[in-house]
Amino acid sequence: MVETSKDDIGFKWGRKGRPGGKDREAQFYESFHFDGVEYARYDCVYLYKEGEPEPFVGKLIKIWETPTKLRRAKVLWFFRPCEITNYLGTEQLLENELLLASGEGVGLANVNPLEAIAGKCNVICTSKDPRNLQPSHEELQMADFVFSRTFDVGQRKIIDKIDERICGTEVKFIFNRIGSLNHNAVEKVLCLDKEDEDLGKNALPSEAIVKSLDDLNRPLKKRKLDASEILLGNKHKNDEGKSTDGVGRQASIQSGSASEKQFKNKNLNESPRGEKVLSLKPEEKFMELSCGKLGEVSSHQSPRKDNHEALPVDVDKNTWFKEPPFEDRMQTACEQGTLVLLRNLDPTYVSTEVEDIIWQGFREKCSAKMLPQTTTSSPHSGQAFVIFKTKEAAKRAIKKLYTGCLVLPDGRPLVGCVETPCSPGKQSTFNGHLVISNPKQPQTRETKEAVSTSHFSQPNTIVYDMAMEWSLQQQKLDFILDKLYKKHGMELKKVKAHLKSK
Amino acid sequence: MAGNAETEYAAFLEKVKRTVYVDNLSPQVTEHVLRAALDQFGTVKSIQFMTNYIEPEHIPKRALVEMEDEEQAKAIVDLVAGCPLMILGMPRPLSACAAKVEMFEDRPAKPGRKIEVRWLDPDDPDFEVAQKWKDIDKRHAAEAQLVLEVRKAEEEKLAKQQADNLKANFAKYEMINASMADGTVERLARHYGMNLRDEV
Repeated sequence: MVETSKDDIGFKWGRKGRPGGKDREAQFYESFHFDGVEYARYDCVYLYKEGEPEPFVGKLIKIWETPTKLRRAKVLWFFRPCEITNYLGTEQLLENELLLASGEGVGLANVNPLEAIAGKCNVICTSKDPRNLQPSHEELQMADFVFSRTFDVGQRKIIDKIDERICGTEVKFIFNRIGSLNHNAVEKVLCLDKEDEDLGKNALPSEAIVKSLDDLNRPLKKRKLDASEILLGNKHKNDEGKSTDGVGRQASIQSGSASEKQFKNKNLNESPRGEKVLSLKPEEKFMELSCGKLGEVSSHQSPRKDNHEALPVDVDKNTWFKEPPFEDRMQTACEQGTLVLLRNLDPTYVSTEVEDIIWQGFREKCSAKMLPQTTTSSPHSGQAFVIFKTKEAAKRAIKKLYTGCLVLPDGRPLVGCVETPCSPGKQSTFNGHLVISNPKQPQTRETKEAVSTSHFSQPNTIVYDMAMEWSLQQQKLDFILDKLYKKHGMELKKVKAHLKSK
Repeated sequence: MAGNAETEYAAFLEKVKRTVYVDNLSPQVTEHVLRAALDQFGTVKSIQFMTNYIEPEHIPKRALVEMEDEEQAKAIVDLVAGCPLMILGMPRPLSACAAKVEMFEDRPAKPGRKIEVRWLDPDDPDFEVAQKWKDIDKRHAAEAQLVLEVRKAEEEKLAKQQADNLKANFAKYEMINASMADGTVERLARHYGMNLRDEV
């Protein structure tokens, strides 16, 4: 816990907020910095979840640090139209339109670790409400998304008006505010600046295909911007807007996106739409497919964001925050059945090597933790906890390890099993530290506040005798364990001798 | 690049040498307390408490303490082996030994090692051996588990026994004190003609 605050390079809390809410222990914040970017309360952000091709979009409505130094944010969700296909009916939505969650029920908001935030997102409110600061034409173009309506998660229908209060947040924080627009716009331009390099390279269609494949490996935020760029490019009015823009930088963007568009049009002429999408952006295709499926199968009853809390955040993809400790992820993984304990590893292996072994053996990506050796753990068999991406993968791996034999270079087979990790939290009992409780002498203030120290006990005290008893017992038990492991070593040697190969 | 990894690993091995593994710490022991305790014998460079992933919760806290050099680390191990050192409580002393590479959770990978695993063909003559090996491993794990449980029980027993002794002793001293205070002892001394005063 100490390390989280120490190791985050570039992370800084900003303004402190007023204490409040249920948890008096928590420290609320109005903003925080990461890597030169300031995130403030009520900013819109991307949140990435494992297994989702597209990041979620949400609004930070509360930011705080728990007494245990965990950084948390309450996120009010935006829905993408494809997430709620079932309830859209005949509603027509703009391509980059989002729906703000409202009402009461699952899918409205969740508490997430701050580490889940993948980047800033420029969402502009286009509501005609007089209290809403109307965005300019330019700002609209810059927006990643716009919204003017809400989706009531309780009644599951689209509402044209924005309520006075959503999830405890006043509507004035939901509308565009002075400062919010300009700030976002500047950010966006900076991002686009980087973008146009990429787009410039895209003049040749063949290169574009290569690039779109490369996209999968690129950092999320950038990828996201690409996608929105394309969305914008598709839209008529935005294209017009761009061409009227005289600024040099904008012009270069335009030429970039124009070439992209050309390429798209070309493709469009040549092949049906599905293929076009496929050739352009594999991940988008995937999204469309999954959304289509969700639309057909009516199992998509409730908005799925609610899983957010339970599912571990995919940290591989956003490396600029320190990932939550493996311990935490291990707990969630255990609940979800994606946790596997591997045994009989070489104790000298490290976590990354275990991940590599899993990849070689199962072609599964995973997150592993080689358990550190202690004086009581077996020197022959190393253990590692592995978190698989899915429950099925974990089950498959255990079964395969049981029926088959995955052998390591020295001929030892890997063993996999389900094991519950010890639950975190402070252990309270510790055998062997005694307290004399004297009912006549209640603890004084001094004794309570005494600075605890360490000492060697003198041989002429009772304590020394007792300590000796402990030492004796310790050595006796160590000896037993040592004996046991020696015996194990002998047995393993015998088995190894039977191996034909090697 | 490779050279880089090697120097890094070498640096890590050096760090291991000057690190002490400290066991049997009370859960209340914090970095600050441990540092204060061990700074008496040298300079503590860093302290890393070990995360307990799998063992039952009752196990004591453990830490890897990096000292300034190897001698200091050795000195601590010898000292603690010689006399019982207690931190934040009595009488269970802490134990210490030299740290091993495998105890470090975030250790770097051994450079230049490539692990290749393969699935054994069921017809492979080694297949049966490997299956047997797996069974042995399972048995070993269970045996070790049992020993650790016995260990815990023993520790509990000793703790309880000591606590009972302490309570009895305390009660005894209380009784003596009380009889001194209310004059019973003096009465008895007079009765038996004994001199309670220390002076001759």
